[in-house]
Amino acid sequence: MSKKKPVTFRPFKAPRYSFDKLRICRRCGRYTALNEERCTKCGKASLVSVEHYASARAGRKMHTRLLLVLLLTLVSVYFGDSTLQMALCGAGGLLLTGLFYYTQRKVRQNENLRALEHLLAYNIGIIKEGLELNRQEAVSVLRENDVLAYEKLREIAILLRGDRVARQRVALLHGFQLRKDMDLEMEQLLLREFEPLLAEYIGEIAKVRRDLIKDRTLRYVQAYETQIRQMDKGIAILTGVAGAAVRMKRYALLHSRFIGRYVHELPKDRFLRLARLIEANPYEPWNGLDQTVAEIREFKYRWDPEFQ
Amino acid sequence: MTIKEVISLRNFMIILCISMVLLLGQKAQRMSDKVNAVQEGSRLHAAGDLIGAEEKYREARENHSFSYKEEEIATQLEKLAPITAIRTGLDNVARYASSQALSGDFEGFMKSYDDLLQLKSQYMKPGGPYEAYYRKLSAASGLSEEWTTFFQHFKKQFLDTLAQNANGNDGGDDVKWKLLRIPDAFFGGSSAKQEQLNAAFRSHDTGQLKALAAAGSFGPLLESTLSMHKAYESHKYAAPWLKEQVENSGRIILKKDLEGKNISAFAEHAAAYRKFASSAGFKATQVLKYIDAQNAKLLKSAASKAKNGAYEDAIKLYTELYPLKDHSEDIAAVRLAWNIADPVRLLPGGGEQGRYNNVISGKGKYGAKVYVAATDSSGSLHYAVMNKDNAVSSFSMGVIPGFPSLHLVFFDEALEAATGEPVVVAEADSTDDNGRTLFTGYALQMQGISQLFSFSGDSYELQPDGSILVHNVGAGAGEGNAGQTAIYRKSGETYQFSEIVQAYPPIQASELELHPFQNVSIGCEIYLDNSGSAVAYADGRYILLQGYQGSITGPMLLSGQFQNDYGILQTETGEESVPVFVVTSAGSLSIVN
Repeated sequence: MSKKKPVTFRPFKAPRYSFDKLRICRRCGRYTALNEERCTKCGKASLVSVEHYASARAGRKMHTRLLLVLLLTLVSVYFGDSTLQMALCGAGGLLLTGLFYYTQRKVRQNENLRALEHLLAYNIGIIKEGLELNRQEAVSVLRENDVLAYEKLREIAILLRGDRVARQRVALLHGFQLRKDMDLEMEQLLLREFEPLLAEYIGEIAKVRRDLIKDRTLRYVQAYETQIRQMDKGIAILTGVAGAAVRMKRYALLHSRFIGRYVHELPKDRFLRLARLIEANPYEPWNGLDQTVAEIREFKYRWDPEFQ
Repeated sequence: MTIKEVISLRNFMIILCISMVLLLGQKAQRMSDKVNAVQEGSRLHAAGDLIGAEEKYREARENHSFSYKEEEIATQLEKLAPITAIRTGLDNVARYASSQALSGDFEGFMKSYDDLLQLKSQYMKPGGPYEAYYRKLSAASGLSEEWTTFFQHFKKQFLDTLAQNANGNDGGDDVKWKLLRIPDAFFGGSSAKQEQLNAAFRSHDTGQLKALAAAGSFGPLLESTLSMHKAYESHKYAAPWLKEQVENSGRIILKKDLEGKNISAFAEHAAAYRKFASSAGFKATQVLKYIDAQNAKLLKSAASKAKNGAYEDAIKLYTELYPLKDHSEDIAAVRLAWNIADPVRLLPGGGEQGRYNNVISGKGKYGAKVYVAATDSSGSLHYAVMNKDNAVSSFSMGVIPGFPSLHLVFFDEALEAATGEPVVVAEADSTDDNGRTLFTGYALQMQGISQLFSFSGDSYELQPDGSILVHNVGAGAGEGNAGQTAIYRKSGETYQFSEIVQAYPPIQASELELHPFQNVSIGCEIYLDNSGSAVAYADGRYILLQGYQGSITGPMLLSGQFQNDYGILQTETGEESVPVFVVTSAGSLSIVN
């Protein structure tokens, strides 16, 4: 077991939308998910969020259309033969223009979104390129500053899903000492395949932040239970996970069998919680867990006042 | 801001909208102009300034910014239509005229001028409603000065052309008519125009004609004059100098011809002049009279030449005068007279010197007016006859025998009388016989020459019975007959040898005594008697010969006389008294009769 170092992450708030942090350089069209000041490709300070960019485009389009209507109005007035014609054309045209303007305002938000959708959809290739560049950048600082690298990778992982980045994060995290007050992630790190480092990480998380162990983590753990058991501290990890799982009835029910396998190892407070859970819900389908728990209770904690 | 952002469709639309606003501003301006124009127009119209009103209304009509009082404009302009017509008419005319003046298109220019006059007549009626306006508009456009300039320009150009061509260059004629068309006013009045043009035309025409005359091209001179004359006629312009000039030149040239004794030139020129005069309608001019007089003189001279026997000259003169009149008849008459006077001319090429020799002729006989016979250099005999109708026939015969030594050809009257047609006899030295003459006789018939006879001898005589006696006839009459006098008798068309003149006519030996002292000849056998003298035996009797030379025996023809002499001859039966024949010549026995 290597020494883990204590680190501090910068605060990380998952954005509401994954594209919130995505920015585009107005000049060269490069996309980036990181927080740099200047575009790394062209060096100009012209990075704007894609939302802003799309919004601007939508805005221009709408203006153009409005101007077209206005132009037609003017042309019709110009070619009018009598004052009456001209007046009618002008009035009608202006009216239409007004209506049009009003309508445009109403749908502006929608248009912005559509523009954004369009932008992202049509530029997915370029976006990928940009993100790849970001990733390479993150990897490049890995040696000197693993914390920075991890932070960068975390940013990137919002958009660039998949095992590659996750694996790298896991690898980095492995070197860090985890504390409760840190911004930690769990489900985002789950890989497709079995990775011992990940299993270790899960074990650590189960210790410091039980609440992060959720459905998917549990499923992952269960899926690779055998491999984890073969690991050094495998049983401990699994126990920890089981202990985390019992915090919610739902999990206890869902993964009752899994928990049943490690219920013997559970620390007292976890066991107690489980027992209380079962007690409170006797008629749920515990799949024999309740009996196991009763047995263990009988065996270990007959005399414990907390259990009475 | 990126370039992409600057050049965007939106900004482009903004620009378009701004331009439209500007255009609208312009339109507004023009609309106000139109309104003003209509207002002005109606004000001016009410004030009586029709021209100004028409202008304003027109301006308003051409202002298409918007429709404003279109009917009013239309009706007003209709009312003012004459003004418009005047104005546009003047404008068009001015425009065309100036372009035509520039390009030198006189025809078009005159047409424009016509248009102008038409316009003027239409609108410039004194007292008419539009007279004042026409005047004003016309003055405003400065038309008069322009036209004057144009006309002056054309006038000068044409006068120059005329002057240039006065020394004989071609062209410039059509310029005259153009000058004619220029209105009088631009010359300073009609009489001034006539004066100027007359002077110009006159100098041009006379210059050209004089040049032609100087170059001696009479034909072209007349042609030019005629065409000029006709041109003047067709344009109804009097050009008296033409007649003057052509008469002068004509007279000079004709005189020169006559002085230079160049009759054919004179005739040509005279004929041309006559033709010209009739085409031009000149009658009885001086020159024509002159021509007539001279022509008469020349004809008289020709006739007298003919009369005096200078036939060739006469014919020459008549021929030279051919252009004036065809004197073929006269020439024929002269030729006839000439032929009669010089019959050898009847023969082909008879007029040539030395072509024919030994020319003999006669007239008025045998149905012919004139007949002639001659030999040519090759020795052929030629004969020509002119009958009562003056038709000439000529014939020729082959080479006359003995031609190289021909020394006489003559008509034998006696033979002619006998045969009823001319007979030509040619005498030549006979080649074979010594001293004899070869006579060849030809009968000249209407249809040709035929040889009548050919014999050689010393002379010949026509006998009353139509036979010809030839003395000392040559060998042609047969061997042995030479030297005799031969008789030629006509057999068929020719005289053939008939017989030798019987200086010693043959008789039968038995009839000897019947012809005493007559030259007779007897055919007999010659024997030699015992004494060696020759004795003749014929018809069963013996004849003694006297003067018989030679000792040839055999059959012989003896010529001589019986002189009533008898002699004794010893024969087988004894002695006989036989006649003695005095022999002058003895020849072989030839078939006679």
